Amino acid sequence: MVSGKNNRVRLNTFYGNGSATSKDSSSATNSNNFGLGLFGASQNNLLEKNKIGGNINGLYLGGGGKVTGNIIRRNVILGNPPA
Amino acid sequence: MDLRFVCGARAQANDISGTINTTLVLYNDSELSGDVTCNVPLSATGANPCISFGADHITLRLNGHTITGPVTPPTGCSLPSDHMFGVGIAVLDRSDVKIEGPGIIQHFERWGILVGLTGHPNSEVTVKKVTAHHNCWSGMQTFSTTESNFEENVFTSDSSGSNEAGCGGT
Repeated sequence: MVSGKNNRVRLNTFYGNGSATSKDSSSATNSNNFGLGLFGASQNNLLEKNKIGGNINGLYLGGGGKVTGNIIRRNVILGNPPA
Repeated sequence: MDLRFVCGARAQANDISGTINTTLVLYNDSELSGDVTCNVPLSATGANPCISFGADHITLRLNGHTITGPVTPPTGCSLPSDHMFGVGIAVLDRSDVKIEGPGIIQHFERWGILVGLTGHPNSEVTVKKVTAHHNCWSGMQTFSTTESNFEENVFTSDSSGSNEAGCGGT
């Protein structure tokens, strides 16, 4: 999700997403793939009661500090392996 | 297989199945009556969707069917440098539209579902009970979208061919 505002992301399942070899640059340590990601000015969204497991990264908050004001509650984020 | 609406014509509605060779633009409530295979060529700069929404206040019901794109990730996936790319369903510059499952959207070169792009915002979009599976980049990508609901969907095994782009389920 890029620059999304006032959205509701609820009751979804995210599993088995991403590739460990996908990286922002050749010097990056970790994969830039994920189950659920917020980027840009993603603000005031509700992320609730989702199941996020078995992804390269579970919940990825990017955006260079512009991802603000989001409510992230009652999610199950489990077993997302490191790159 | 029966295909009622193809060739990018104005779809007056209704039943969709079979093979789509040119972007199908929806202007009315529509639904799948069977599985769909997409062979839309990459001919335009930007997104080349299999199905796109051409009006506000309409719904696409998948009715338990599958929309399948032309690639098997990671083979054939889009590169970040590509100026033309394939997606399953595109919602651009729309308000109050809905994609309603159950149903599967799979095997597209970039995104299974694209909701908005920079300069093409949406509002009040609903995507519910849809499975996005084995798409090269993200199962669903949203840009500049507000006041929308994404509920009870399953995003699985996406982003295995993102070619260094930051992607995932959603």
